[in-house]
Amino acid sequence: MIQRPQLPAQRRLVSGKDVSRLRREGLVPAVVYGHGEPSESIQVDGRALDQLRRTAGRNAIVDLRVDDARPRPVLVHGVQEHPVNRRVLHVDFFLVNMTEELTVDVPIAMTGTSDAAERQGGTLLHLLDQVKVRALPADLPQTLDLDVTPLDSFDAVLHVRDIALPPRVTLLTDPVEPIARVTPPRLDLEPVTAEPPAEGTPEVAAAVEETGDGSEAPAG
Amino acid sequence: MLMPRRVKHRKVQRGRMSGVAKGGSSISFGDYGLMTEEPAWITSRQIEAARRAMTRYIKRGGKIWIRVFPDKPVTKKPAEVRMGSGKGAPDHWVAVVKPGRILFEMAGVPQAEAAEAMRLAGHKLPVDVRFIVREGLAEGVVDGHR
Repeated sequence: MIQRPQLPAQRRLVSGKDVSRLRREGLVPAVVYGHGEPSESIQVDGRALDQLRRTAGRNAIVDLRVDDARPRPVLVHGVQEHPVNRRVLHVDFFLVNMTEELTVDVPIAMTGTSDAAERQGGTLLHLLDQVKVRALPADLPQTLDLDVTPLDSFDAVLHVRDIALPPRVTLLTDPVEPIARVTPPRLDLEPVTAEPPAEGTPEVAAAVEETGDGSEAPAG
Repeated sequence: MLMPRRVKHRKVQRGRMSGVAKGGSSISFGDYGLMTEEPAWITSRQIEAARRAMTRYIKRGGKIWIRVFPDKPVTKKPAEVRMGSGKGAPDHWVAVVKPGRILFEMAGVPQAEAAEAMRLAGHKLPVDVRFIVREGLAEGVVDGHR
Protein backbone atom coordinates (compact mmCIF):
# COMPACT_ATOMS: atom_id res chain seq x y z
CA MET A 1 0.00 0.00 0.00
CA ILE A 2 1.26 3.48 -0.90
CA GLN A 3 2.13 5.64 2.09
CA ARG A 4 0.13 8.85 1.90
CA PRO A 5 0.94 12.08 3.76
CA GLN A 6 -0.85 12.35 7.09
CA LEU A 7 -2.63 15.41 8.48
CA PRO A 8 -4.01 15.42 12.00
CA ALA A 9 -7.12 17.51 12.66
CA GLN A 10 -9.51 18.23 15.48
CA ARG A 11 -13.25 18.64 15.49
CA ARG A 12 -14.12 22.35 15.50
CA LEU A 13 -16.78 23.71 17.80
CA VAL A 14 -16.44 27.41 17.03
CA SER A 15 -17.83 28.94 13.89
CA GLY A 16 -18.59 32.35 12.43
CA LYS A 17 -16.50 35.30 13.51
CA ASP A 18 -15.05 33.36 16.45
CA VAL A 19 -12.76 31.43 14.09
CA SER A 20 -10.48 34.49 13.96
CA ARG A 21 -9.41 33.47 17.49
CA LEU A 22 -8.37 30.09 16.11
CA ARG A 23 -6.27 31.77 13.44
CA ARG A 24 -4.51 33.86 16.09
CA GLU A 25 -3.62 30.60 17.85
CA GLY A 26 -2.02 29.22 14.69
CA LEU A 27 -4.91 26.96 13.72
CA VAL A 28 -6.67 26.98 10.37
CA PRO A 29 -10.43 26.40 10.21
CA ALA A 30 -11.41 23.80 7.66
CA VAL A 31 -14.33 21.69 6.54
CA VAL A 32 -14.45 18.12 5.28
CA TYR A 33 -17.27 16.84 3.05
CA GLY A 34 -18.06 14.61 0.11
CA HIS A 35 -19.73 11.37 -0.94
CA GLY A 36 -22.99 12.05 0.83
CA GLU A 37 -21.36 12.34 4.24
CA PRO A 38 -22.48 15.30 6.33
CA SER A 39 -20.18 18.28 6.27
CA GLU A 40 -17.91 18.39 9.31
CA SER A 41 -16.19 21.48 10.73
CA ILE A 42 -12.58 20.79 11.69
CA GLN A 43 -9.40 22.69 12.48
CA VAL A 44 -5.84 21.85 11.48
CA ASP A 45 -2.46 23.09 12.60
CA GLY A 46 -1.31 25.94 10.34
CA ARG A 47 2.33 24.83 10.26
CA ALA A 48 1.47 21.24 9.43
CA LEU A 49 -0.80 22.43 6.65
CA ASP A 50 1.89 24.75 5.20
CA GLN A 51 4.41 21.92 5.30
CA LEU A 52 1.94 19.61 3.58
CA ARG A 53 1.17 22.12 0.82
CA ARG A 54 4.86 22.67 0.16
CA THR A 55 5.84 19.03 0.00
CA ALA A 56 2.84 17.04 -1.18
CA GLY A 57 1.67 19.04 -4.19
CA ARG A 58 -1.68 20.48 -5.07
CA ASN A 59 -3.53 17.26 -5.95
CA ALA A 60 -2.02 14.93 -3.39
CA ILE A 61 -4.35 12.54 -1.60
CA VAL A 62 -3.90 13.07 2.13
CA ASP A 63 -4.89 10.87 5.05
CA LEU A 64 -6.92 13.13 7.31
CA ARG A 65 -7.32 11.91 10.86
CA VAL A 66 -9.96 13.85 12.82
CA ASP A 67 -9.31 13.37 16.56
CA ASP A 68 -9.01 9.61 17.08
CA ALA A 69 -11.13 8.46 14.16
CA ARG A 70 -9.60 6.29 11.44
CA PRO A 71 -7.74 8.23 8.71
CA ARG A 72 -9.79 9.08 5.64
CA PRO A 73 -8.36 9.93 2.20
CA VAL A 74 -9.10 13.53 1.24
CA LEU A 75 -8.17 15.96 -1.48
CA VAL A 76 -7.37 19.59 -0.70
CA HIS A 77 -10.26 21.00 -2.67
CA GLY A 78 -10.19 24.73 -2.03
CA VAL A 79 -7.85 27.03 -0.16
CA GLN A 80 -8.91 30.55 0.79
CA GLU A 81 -6.03 32.97 1.27
CA HIS A 82 -5.92 36.46 2.71
CA PRO A 83 -5.42 38.85 -0.21
CA VAL A 84 -2.72 40.90 1.53
CA ASN A 85 -0.67 38.67 3.82
CA ARG A 86 -1.42 35.48 1.82
CA ARG A 87 -2.05 33.44 4.95
CA VAL A 88 -4.43 30.51 4.61
CA LEU A 89 -7.85 31.47 5.98
CA HIS A 90 -9.82 28.31 5.36
CA VAL A 91 -9.43 24.93 3.65
CA ASP A 92 -11.96 22.58 2.07
CA PHE A 93 -11.11 18.87 2.24
CA PHE A 94 -13.01 16.63 -0.17
CA LEU A 95 -13.50 13.01 0.87
CA VAL A 96 -12.18 10.70 -1.82
CA ASN A 97 -13.45 7.29 -2.80
CA MET A 98 -10.35 5.52 -4.10
CA THR A 99 -12.38 3.52 -6.62
CA GLU A 100 -14.19 6.49 -8.11
CA GLU A 101 -12.79 8.86 -10.73
CA LEU A 102 -12.14 12.49 -9.77
CA THR A 103 -12.07 15.66 -11.84
CA VAL A 104 -9.28 18.01 -10.81
CA ASP A 105 -7.25 20.91 -12.17
CA VAL A 106 -3.63 19.91 -12.74
CA PRO A 107 -0.92 22.58 -13.15
CA ILE A 108 1.18 22.57 -16.31
CA ALA A 109 4.96 22.56 -15.93
CA MET A 110 6.88 23.97 -18.90
CA THR A 111 10.03 22.05 -19.79
CA GLY A 112 12.73 22.62 -22.38
CA THR A 113 13.67 25.93 -23.97
CA SER A 114 11.96 27.83 -26.72
CA ASP A 115 14.22 29.09 -29.47
CA ALA A 116 11.94 32.08 -30.13
CA ALA A 117 12.13 33.13 -26.49
CA GLU A 118 15.80 32.40 -25.83
CA ARG A 119 17.51 33.51 -29.06
CA GLN A 120 15.04 35.82 -30.76
CA GLY A 121 14.23 37.80 -27.61
CA GLY A 122 10.55 36.93 -27.41
CA THR A 123 8.48 36.48 -24.27
CA LEU A 124 7.06 33.06 -23.46
CA LEU A 125 3.43 33.48 -22.46
CA HIS A 126 1.59 30.91 -20.38
CA LEU A 127 -1.93 31.26 -21.71
CA LEU A 128 -3.19 28.46 -19.48
CA ASP A 129 -1.77 27.50 -16.08
CA GLN A 130 -3.74 24.33 -15.52
CA VAL A 131 -5.96 21.84 -17.30
CA LYS A 132 -8.89 19.79 -16.09
CA VAL A 133 -8.36 16.04 -16.05
CA ARG A 134 -10.32 13.03 -14.85
CA ALA A 135 -8.68 10.00 -13.29
CA LEU A 136 -8.77 7.61 -10.39
CA PRO A 137 -7.26 9.16 -7.25
CA ALA A 138 -4.25 6.83 -7.44
CA ASP A 139 -3.52 7.91 -11.03
CA LEU A 140 -3.89 11.67 -10.51
CA PRO A 141 -0.76 13.47 -11.78
CA GLN A 142 0.70 16.29 -9.68
CA THR A 143 1.83 18.22 -12.76
CA LEU A 144 1.66 17.73 -16.50
CA ASP A 145 4.84 18.42 -18.45
CA LEU A 146 4.75 20.45 -21.63
CA ASP A 147 7.86 20.71 -23.78
CA VAL A 148 8.12 24.24 -25.19
CA THR A 149 10.95 23.37 -27.63
CA PRO A 150 8.54 23.36 -30.63
CA LEU A 151 8.00 27.10 -30.06
CA ASP A 152 10.75 28.09 -32.47
CA SER A 153 8.92 30.99 -34.12
CA PHE A 154 6.51 33.70 -33.09
CA ASP A 155 3.72 32.02 -35.06
CA ALA A 156 4.01 28.69 -33.27
CA VAL A 157 1.39 27.91 -30.62
CA LEU A 158 1.16 24.95 -28.27
CA HIS A 159 -2.31 23.64 -27.57
CA VAL A 160 -3.83 21.47 -24.86
CA ARG A 161 -3.65 18.48 -27.22
CA ASP A 162 0.17 18.77 -27.18
CA ILE A 163 0.37 17.72 -23.53
CA ALA A 164 1.72 14.20 -22.99
CA LEU A 165 -0.84 12.57 -20.72
CA PRO A 166 0.07 9.73 -18.36
CA PRO A 167 -1.90 6.49 -18.82
CA ARG A 168 -5.44 6.21 -17.40
CA VAL A 169 -5.88 10.00 -17.32
CA THR A 170 -8.61 11.68 -19.39
CA LEU A 171 -8.26 15.27 -20.51
CA LEU A 172 -11.42 17.35 -20.09
CA THR A 173 -10.18 20.78 -21.20
CA ASP A 174 -10.86 21.61 -24.86
CA PRO A 175 -7.88 20.15 -26.81
CA VAL A 176 -7.70 23.10 -29.20
CA GLU A 177 -7.29 25.65 -26.43
CA PRO A 178 -3.88 27.38 -26.68
CA ILE A 179 -1.46 26.91 -23.77
CA ALA A 180 1.73 28.70 -24.70
CA ARG A 181 3.12 30.95 -27.37
CA VAL A 182 5.95 33.43 -27.74
CA THR A 183 5.28 37.10 -28.40
CA PRO A 184 7.84 39.06 -30.40
CA PRO A 185 9.95 41.63 -28.54
CA ARG A 186 8.60 45.17 -28.33
CA LEU A 187 10.24 47.30 -30.98
CA ASP A 188 8.91 50.68 -29.89
CA LEU A 189 10.19 51.63 -26.48
CA GLU A 190 7.49 54.23 -26.03
CA PRO A 191 4.17 53.28 -27.58
CA VAL A 192 2.24 56.22 -28.96
CA THR A 193 -0.22 57.42 -26.39
CA ALA A 194 -2.59 60.33 -26.40
CA GLU A 195 -0.83 63.52 -25.44
CA PRO A 196 -2.03 64.74 -22.07
CA PRO A 197 -3.89 68.01 -22.53
CA ALA A 198 -2.61 71.18 -20.94
CA GLU A 199 -3.39 71.84 -17.30
CA GLY A 200 -6.83 73.15 -16.61
CA THR A 201 -8.45 72.13 -19.87
CA PRO A 202 -11.68 70.22 -19.49
CA GLU A 203 -10.17 67.06 -20.98
CA VAL A 204 -12.65 64.70 -19.45
CA ALA A 205 -15.74 66.60 -20.49
CA ALA A 206 -14.43 66.82 -24.03
CA ALA A 207 -13.18 63.25 -24.34
CA VAL A 208 -16.01 61.38 -22.70
CA GLU A 209 -19.52 61.32 -23.92
CA GLU A 210 -22.20 60.64 -21.37
CA THR A 211 -24.69 58.06 -22.50
CA GLY A 212 -28.20 58.87 -21.49
CA ASP A 213 -29.62 55.60 -22.74
CA GLY A 214 -28.51 53.53 -19.78
CA SER A 215 -25.89 51.62 -21.73
CA GLU A 216 -23.05 50.01 -19.83
CA ALA A 217 -19.91 51.96 -19.06
CA PRO A 218 -16.78 50.13 -20.16
CA ALA A 219 -15.54 47.80 -17.50
CA GLY A 220 -12.08 48.11 -16.03
CA MET B 1 -3.56 57.68 -20.66
CA LEU B 2 -6.31 55.26 -19.73
CA MET B 3 -9.87 56.54 -19.57
CA PRO B 4 -13.31 55.15 -20.42
CA ARG B 5 -14.64 55.84 -23.92
CA ARG B 6 -18.09 56.71 -22.64
CA VAL B 7 -19.82 56.52 -19.28
CA LYS B 8 -23.33 56.28 -17.95
CA HIS B 9 -22.88 59.18 -15.53
CA ARG B 10 -20.37 62.03 -15.89
CA LYS B 11 -20.06 62.60 -12.15
CA VAL B 12 -20.16 60.04 -9.35
CA GLN B 13 -20.06 60.19 -5.57
CA ARG B 14 -16.80 59.54 -3.74
CA GLY B 15 -17.63 56.28 -2.01
CA ARG B 16 -15.65 54.41 0.66
CA MET B 17 -12.52 52.27 0.48
CA SER B 18 -12.87 50.03 3.52
CA GLY B 19 -11.80 46.41 3.56
CA VAL B 20 -9.49 44.43 1.32
CA ALA B 21 -9.59 43.53 -2.35
CA LYS B 22 -12.34 41.09 -3.25
CA GLY B 23 -11.00 40.24 -6.67
CA GLY B 24 -7.93 40.85 -8.80
CA SER B 25 -5.74 39.77 -5.89
CA SER B 26 -3.87 36.93 -7.58
CA ILE B 27 -1.44 36.88 -10.48
CA SER B 28 -3.41 35.85 -13.56
CA PHE B 29 -1.33 36.59 -16.65
CA GLY B 30 2.36 37.05 -15.93
CA ASP B 31 4.97 35.66 -13.57
CA TYR B 32 5.43 38.67 -11.29
CA GLY B 33 3.03 41.20 -9.85
CA LEU B 34 2.92 44.50 -8.01
CA MET B 35 0.39 44.47 -5.19
CA THR B 36 -0.91 47.46 -3.28
CA GLU B 37 -0.88 47.28 0.51
CA GLU B 38 -3.06 50.36 0.99
CA PRO B 39 -6.41 51.60 -0.27
CA ALA B 40 -6.14 54.55 -2.65
CA TRP B 41 -7.37 56.36 -5.71
CA ILE B 42 -4.74 55.85 -8.40
CA THR B 43 -4.99 58.38 -11.20
CA SER B 44 -4.55 57.55 -14.85
CA ARG B 45 -1.39 59.71 -14.87
CA GLN B 46 0.13 57.68 -12.05
CA ILE B 47 -0.69 54.43 -13.85
CA GLU B 48 0.90 55.74 -17.03
CA ALA B 49 3.99 56.99 -15.16
CA ALA B 50 4.43 53.60 -13.47
CA ARG B 51 3.97 51.78 -16.77
CA ARG B 52 6.60 53.98 -18.44
CA ALA B 53 9.05 53.44 -15.58
CA MET B 54 8.72 49.67 -15.96
CA THR B 55 8.82 49.71 -19.76
CA ARG B 56 11.97 51.84 -19.80
CA TYR B 57 13.75 49.61 -17.32
CA ILE B 58 13.02 46.30 -19.01
CA LYS B 59 13.83 47.80 -22.44
CA ARG B 60 12.89 45.42 -25.25
CA GLY B 61 12.15 42.27 -23.30
CA GLY B 62 9.17 41.16 -21.35
CA LYS B 63 5.49 41.93 -21.34
CA ILE B 64 3.49 44.09 -18.97
CA TRP B 65 -0.17 43.86 -18.01
CA ILE B 66 -2.08 46.70 -16.33
CA ARG B 67 -4.63 45.13 -14.00
CA VAL B 68 -6.48 48.29 -12.93
CA PHE B 69 -8.51 50.71 -15.01
CA PRO B 70 -9.32 54.29 -13.99
CA ASP B 71 -13.07 54.31 -14.50
CA LYS B 72 -14.08 56.72 -11.74
CA PRO B 73 -14.36 60.41 -12.67
CA VAL B 74 -13.07 62.98 -10.17
CA THR B 75 -14.43 66.50 -10.37
CA LYS B 76 -12.74 69.74 -9.46
CA LYS B 77 -13.94 73.30 -9.09
CA PRO B 78 -11.97 75.99 -10.91
CA ALA B 79 -9.41 77.99 -8.93
CA GLU B 80 -10.63 80.97 -6.89
CA VAL B 81 -14.30 80.12 -7.14
CA ARG B 82 -16.62 80.60 -4.17
CA MET B 83 -18.21 77.51 -2.69
CA GLY B 84 -21.65 76.52 -3.89
CA SER B 85 -23.11 76.63 -7.39
CA GLY B 86 -23.05 72.87 -7.72
CA LYS B 87 -20.45 70.21 -8.27
CA GLY B 88 -17.34 71.02 -10.29
CA ALA B 89 -16.43 69.77 -13.74
CA PRO B 90 -14.88 66.33 -14.36
CA ASP B 91 -11.12 66.73 -14.07
CA HIS B 92 -9.42 63.34 -14.16
CA TRP B 93 -9.96 59.61 -13.78
CA VAL B 94 -8.97 57.31 -10.95
CA ALA B 95 -8.93 53.58 -10.24
CA VAL B 96 -10.13 52.70 -6.75
CA VAL B 97 -7.86 50.02 -5.28
CA LYS B 98 -7.94 48.22 -1.96
CA PRO B 99 -5.15 46.32 -0.17
CA GLY B 100 -4.27 43.10 -1.97
CA ARG B 101 -5.12 44.33 -5.45
CA ILE B 102 -2.60 43.46 -8.18
CA LEU B 103 -1.80 46.65 -10.10
CA PHE B 104 0.66 45.39 -12.71
CA GLU B 105 1.94 42.04 -13.93
CA MET B 106 5.08 41.20 -15.85
CA ALA B 107 6.52 38.20 -17.67
CA GLY B 108 9.51 37.32 -19.80
CA VAL B 109 12.23 38.93 -17.68
CA PRO B 110 14.44 37.56 -14.87
CA GLN B 111 13.03 37.97 -11.38
CA ALA B 112 15.67 40.49 -10.26
CA GLU B 113 14.95 42.67 -13.28
CA ALA B 114 11.20 42.48 -12.72
CA ALA B 115 11.64 43.37 -9.04
CA GLU B 116 13.74 46.42 -9.87
CA ALA B 117 11.35 47.56 -12.63
CA MET B 118 8.43 47.25 -10.24
CA ARG B 119 10.34 49.03 -7.47
CA LEU B 120 10.78 51.97 -9.83
CA ALA B 121 7.09 51.79 -10.75
CA GLY B 122 6.17 51.75 -7.07
CA HIS B 123 7.79 55.17 -6.65
CA LYS B 124 5.25 56.60 -9.11
CA LEU B 125 2.29 55.35 -7.08
CA PRO B 126 0.61 56.88 -4.02
CA VAL B 127 0.61 53.58 -2.11
CA ASP B 128 2.93 51.11 -0.42
CA VAL B 129 3.42 48.22 -2.80
CA ARG B 130 4.82 44.72 -2.62
CA PHE B 131 6.48 42.65 -5.32
CA ILE B 132 4.99 39.18 -5.55
CA VAL B 133 5.82 36.09 -7.57
CA ARG B 134 3.41 33.60 -9.13
CA GLU B 135 2.88 30.53 -6.96
CA GLY B 136 4.33 28.06 -9.45
CA LEU B 137 7.62 29.92 -9.64
CA ALA B 138 8.44 28.84 -6.08
CA GLU B 139 10.51 31.81 -4.90
CA GLY B 140 7.51 33.19 -3.04
CA VAL B 141 6.82 36.65 -1.74
CA VAL B 142 9.69 39.08 -1.80
CA ASP B 143 9.78 42.02 0.55
CA GLY B 144 8.08 45.09 -0.76
CA HIS B 145 9.31 48.58 -1.40
CA ARG B 146 7.80 51.94 -1.18
